[in-house]
Amino acid sequence: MELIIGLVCLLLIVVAVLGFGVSIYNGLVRARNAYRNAFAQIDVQLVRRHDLIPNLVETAKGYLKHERETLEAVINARNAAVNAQATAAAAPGDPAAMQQLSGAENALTATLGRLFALSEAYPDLKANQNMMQLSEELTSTENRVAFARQAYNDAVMAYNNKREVFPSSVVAGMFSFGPAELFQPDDPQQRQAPQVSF
Amino acid sequence: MNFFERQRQVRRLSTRLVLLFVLAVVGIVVVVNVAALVAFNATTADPGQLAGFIAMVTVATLAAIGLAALVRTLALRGGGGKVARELGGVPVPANTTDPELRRLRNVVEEMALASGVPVPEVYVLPEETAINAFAAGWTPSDAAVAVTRGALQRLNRDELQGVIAHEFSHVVNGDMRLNIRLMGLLFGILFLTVIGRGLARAGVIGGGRSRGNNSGGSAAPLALVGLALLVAGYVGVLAGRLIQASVSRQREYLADASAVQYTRQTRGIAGALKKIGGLSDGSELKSPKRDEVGHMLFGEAARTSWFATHPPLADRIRALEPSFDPAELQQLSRRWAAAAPSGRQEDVAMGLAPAAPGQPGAPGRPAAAGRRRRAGRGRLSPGHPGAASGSASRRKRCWAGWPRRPRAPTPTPQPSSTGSRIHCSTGPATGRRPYRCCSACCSAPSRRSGSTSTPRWPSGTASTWPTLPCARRTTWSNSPPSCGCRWPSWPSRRYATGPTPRWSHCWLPCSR
Repeated sequence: MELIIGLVCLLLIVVAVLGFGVSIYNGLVRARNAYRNAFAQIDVQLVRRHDLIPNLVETAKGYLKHERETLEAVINARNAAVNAQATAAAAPGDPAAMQQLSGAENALTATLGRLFALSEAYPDLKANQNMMQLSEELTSTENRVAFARQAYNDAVMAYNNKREVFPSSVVAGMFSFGPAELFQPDDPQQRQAPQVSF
Repeated sequence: MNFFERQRQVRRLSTRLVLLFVLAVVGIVVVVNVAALVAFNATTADPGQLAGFIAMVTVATLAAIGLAALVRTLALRGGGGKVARELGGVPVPANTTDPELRRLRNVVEEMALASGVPVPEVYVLPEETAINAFAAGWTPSDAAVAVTRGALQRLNRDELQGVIAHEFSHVVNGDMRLNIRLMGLLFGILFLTVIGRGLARAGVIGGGRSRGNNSGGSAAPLALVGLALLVAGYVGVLAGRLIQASVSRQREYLADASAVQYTRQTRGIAGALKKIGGLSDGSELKSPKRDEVGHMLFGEAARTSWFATHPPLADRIRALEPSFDPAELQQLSRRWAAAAPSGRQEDVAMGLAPAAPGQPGAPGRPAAAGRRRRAGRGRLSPGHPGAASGSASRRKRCWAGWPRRPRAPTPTPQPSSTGSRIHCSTGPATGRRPYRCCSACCSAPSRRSGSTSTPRWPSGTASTWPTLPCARRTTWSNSPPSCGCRWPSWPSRRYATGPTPRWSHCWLPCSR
């Protein structure tokens, strides 16, 4: 009799431990899928940004006839970013590809900044209806890229927390859940506050 | 502000309040049980019968509450769009070109990204001049977000973002669901009083009759139980409403903290709250149905009371900006009484939007650019090859947004020097000519020069051409196919029906 009770108790404990393990494993898988999905969202927004830029250049071209180099730099930076994105999309979470992508995107942001700085000197261009709409779209797109990265980083944080916290770290180790990389600007200059001089 | 920590605190507090609500229901069941035991004199029965009696009364009470709650919940849980339309909301289409609506749509889509939920339906309440917004819906996938016209006009981009983020956090945290459940339960408790009244009346009538018949009353206990139900029900409803209101207030703090998580700044949402406090319109809605959405709004819908669904404004702002001084609100209200703030001007000042041409931030005329654009809406057929041969209706649909201009002569695009490099993929040899899709070739007509620009090939070589969306790369046709327009919001790959196409593509002849 005692033996049976003992066996039943043992069985219950084993089932409980197994169930706990399964729920941890499922939670880890969910968190991993969440951050991968968040990465795909960044991708979507980057595509949107890349798609907007040729139109911007096309609109600006009529007014900025003497600023050929800037326009070409924007298009080149865009094409470089498109390529880097394709590489990174093939391996989400891979640190090297992520670094390359954020480098290319930073270069694109820099050239776009130059273009907008130039357009300040051309009131005709600034007043162009099309340019105004494009600039609202670009403002929104820059926000979207930032928010998509933020959501990705939040998802990575949630996943890494899950992966490294004690009981689930055992399960993560058994099923080799690798660490996920945060999306961050790799250029140390970007961390410094911009210098403004008048 | 450490918003993750704050979210944890507020969540814990609101969980406790929900437990309190459950305790109130338990209390009601206990009261009803005691009343029934006393009324039917059942305390003297043996333990087995006693347990059966208590179980029966408990199950009956819970079933009455539960059924009524279920019916009420089912009635309340319609999609968010339904609620928004009932309050007079007008949907904002995905391809709107009005600058203010466009900004709203963009902000909503940005916040959907930041919070990781699908883009909800967007509504504007054009009748409401106060600053307010609400989210409605049972799940994130059938949610709707609505903002008042006042919010659109008075808030700048950052503040609007804060308000929308606040609404999104109601969606993400399931506050709509929680509140509908609580409202259902409240209705269930209220239903007890209805039963109680019925029982009491039956008991009194029955008791009177039985006294008249002089046969001793079995109906008097029924009256006692009914009375107990009535009292417990009313006390329960009062307590329930108080608890529901304080749950709602805690969820507002949670939504504020989550809004900071999504926008990563406190300035926007704090600024919106200050505008509510400083403007005379405040956040009061005119719609008679405002109480139904009271707990989902951004600001209080009616004057504050014990049953307020939102914490006091000053407390909310202080949670966001610890250094906030309530006297600041009075200063702001004095300043805004003279000249009401305009969100668009503030955007221009912050560099979030370009100044409208001709009137850089002219005071008091915030929507001038939008009005002029609407007034100038007309038809224009720019010179692209499709305009010459395409059907008139298609042309209208495509170019309806451009300002009216005299029809320009339609130049035929010549692939010039690069033409020889264009090759189409092999296709059916039907004798029709091949055309290749070229996305950036028909650029928008320029407003200043008054002429439409000639469709042309993008510069660079074939390998560096922008890969813009073309539904099909190549097509075969006897006559040049008309140009199409595409709205750029990914992933909806449908053609824009509204004005102002952002992308356009043309079909240019190519060699096989």
